[in-house]
Amino acid sequence: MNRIKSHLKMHYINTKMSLIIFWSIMFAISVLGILIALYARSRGYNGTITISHMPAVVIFGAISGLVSYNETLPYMLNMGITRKNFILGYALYNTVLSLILSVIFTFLTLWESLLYNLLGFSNQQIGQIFTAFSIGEIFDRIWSCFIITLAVTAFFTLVGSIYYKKGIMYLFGIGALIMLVMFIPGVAAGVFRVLEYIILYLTGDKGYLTMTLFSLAFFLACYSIIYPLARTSQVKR
Amino acid sequence: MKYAVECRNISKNFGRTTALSDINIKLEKDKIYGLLGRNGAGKSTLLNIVTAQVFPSSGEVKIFGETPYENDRALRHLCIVKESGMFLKDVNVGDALDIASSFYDNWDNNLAERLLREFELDRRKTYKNLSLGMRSQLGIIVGLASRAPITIFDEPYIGLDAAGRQLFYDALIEDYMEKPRTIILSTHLIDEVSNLLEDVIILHKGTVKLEGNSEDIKNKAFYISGIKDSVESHVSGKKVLNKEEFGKTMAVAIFDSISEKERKAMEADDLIISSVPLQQLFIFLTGGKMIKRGDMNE
Amino acid sequence: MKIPLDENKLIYMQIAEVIEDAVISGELNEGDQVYSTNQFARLYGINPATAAKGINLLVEEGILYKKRGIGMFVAEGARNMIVGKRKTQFIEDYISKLIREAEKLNITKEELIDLIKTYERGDK
Repeated sequence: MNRIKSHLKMHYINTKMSLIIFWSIMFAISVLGILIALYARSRGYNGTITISHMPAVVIFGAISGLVSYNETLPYMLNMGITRKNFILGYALYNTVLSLILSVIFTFLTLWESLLYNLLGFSNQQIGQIFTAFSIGEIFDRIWSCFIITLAVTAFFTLVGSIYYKKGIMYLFGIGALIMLVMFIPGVAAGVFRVLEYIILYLTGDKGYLTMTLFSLAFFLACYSIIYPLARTSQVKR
Repeated sequence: MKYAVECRNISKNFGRTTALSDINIKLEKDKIYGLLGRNGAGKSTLLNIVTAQVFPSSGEVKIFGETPYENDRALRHLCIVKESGMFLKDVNVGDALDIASSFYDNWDNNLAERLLREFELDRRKTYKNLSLGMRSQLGIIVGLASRAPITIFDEPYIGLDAAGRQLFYDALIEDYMEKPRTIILSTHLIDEVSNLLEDVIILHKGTVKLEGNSEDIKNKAFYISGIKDSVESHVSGKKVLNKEEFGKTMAVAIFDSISEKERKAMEADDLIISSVPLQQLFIFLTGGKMIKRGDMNE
Repeated sequence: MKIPLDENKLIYMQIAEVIEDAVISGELNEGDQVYSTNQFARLYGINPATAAKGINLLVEEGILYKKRGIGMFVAEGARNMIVGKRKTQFIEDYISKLIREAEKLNITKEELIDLIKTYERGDK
């Protein structure tokens, strides 16, 4: 257990700088957004201003999954951690990171909503924003952001682990294969139908439990591929 | 008795090239070993296998009797510092030490702080902004302060000048005396470290060329020089590493023991005998020249 | 700073010689404590096991003895033992060589003795 604690500490030290920089930029963007909204209103614009930091959060999670796996696996193996403990620690780190990102994201959105309200914008003018300001709504936001980020991070960790073990050519190969399969009549349409269903499932009013289970299943599916890959990965230098 | 490190029939192939073939070595507890070899001899590959970072193609490694692969207990005995460095590039020196301190059970923070001062390394500097020498210093600090029962330094001095390396050697021997442990020093700067080593392993083209106590080895390698005929008659039957002639005189390097009787006979014939320094012996053994037994008159 | 050693000689033999020299010169008296293994290691920048080998050599010869838990001490009669040993060595190393070299130069033994008797040290 001690090892996993040290492992998380390492990730904390490694990630804190990029987290601070990333969220400073997000904050700056949000301030800029408000200024733009004010300017637009002064010029008589009355349409909807959509604010969502969700894509940014997802991108951060994806990059982190991709880059930090490749950076920290050899570092940790060099420190004498077992591959099993590495994966356990990494999955835990993914989870904690997704949660932290979601919390920050939610509070950034909350802060913006309050400010827009204070500045006299109506809820109809700005999408993707808090309306009720209740604890339930805050929790709702955090949780939905969390389960999406978690799934995305796990997926990109999977991509990262394939890249580490097999190299970039292998990834391109997988990509090409997917493209090839898509050319088979009906497959592309089928895949898109499934994706549509998934998205509807996630965004639709399905309740936390189903959504969470869905995300968790995806997370576990990714890690069930990552784990054997990591167990057989070697340090390259 | 349990060895600190034991390699049994280790072989490693990368595609068609053989990096290591049938390595069998046993390293005892609390000794300083020199793993000597030219570039590409397979030193780093062997050390990566010992630390379970790379898998052998065949054979097995034991760390205090246990297989290190996926074995937390065995891995906790190890600390390896590499030439290429193995740190996170966005983390500063202080944080890198902080991380290391939480992974090594015997971590000595006072030692780390002292070495940090001696090397005058700035703890706020990020790893990617460190010079090669500073990166080496950080590696050395981690290696020494880890006080791991088996500490491995794989050419840890790139970019360090002579004074910096001396600081490392001094700190190494000092801390080793305070807390004996198995130390493996992989290097090709043999003349600098030969006095620090208790045992040496010479690796050449993926095989163990020579292994043993460094003083015993030195006691088996001699230069013998004098009149050609006389030299030839005295060294017949001995393993000859190298010979050079200048007119009527001849200097021969042999790799064989000389009995007290033989020594006296040589001295009586005005032959000059001296030990071959380890560095020179290494060059003879790995320079591609074959060791021939006797037959000086070919 | 480290005291440099002769890399053409065995290190442990050099350590033994250093101690012997100290006993002969009177720097170390019989019954005195000798430097520890670690002190030698530090002084010369060598492996302590190698230093111990040199010290053990002298213990085997009876020149040093071990007091458990305290350290190594110069044995009684150590000086005579070393002088005796060095004399044998002196004969082997210098006298025999001297005679052989003299023979080559056609110097008779009588002439050699005269040379030794009348030789004055150049530095005095």
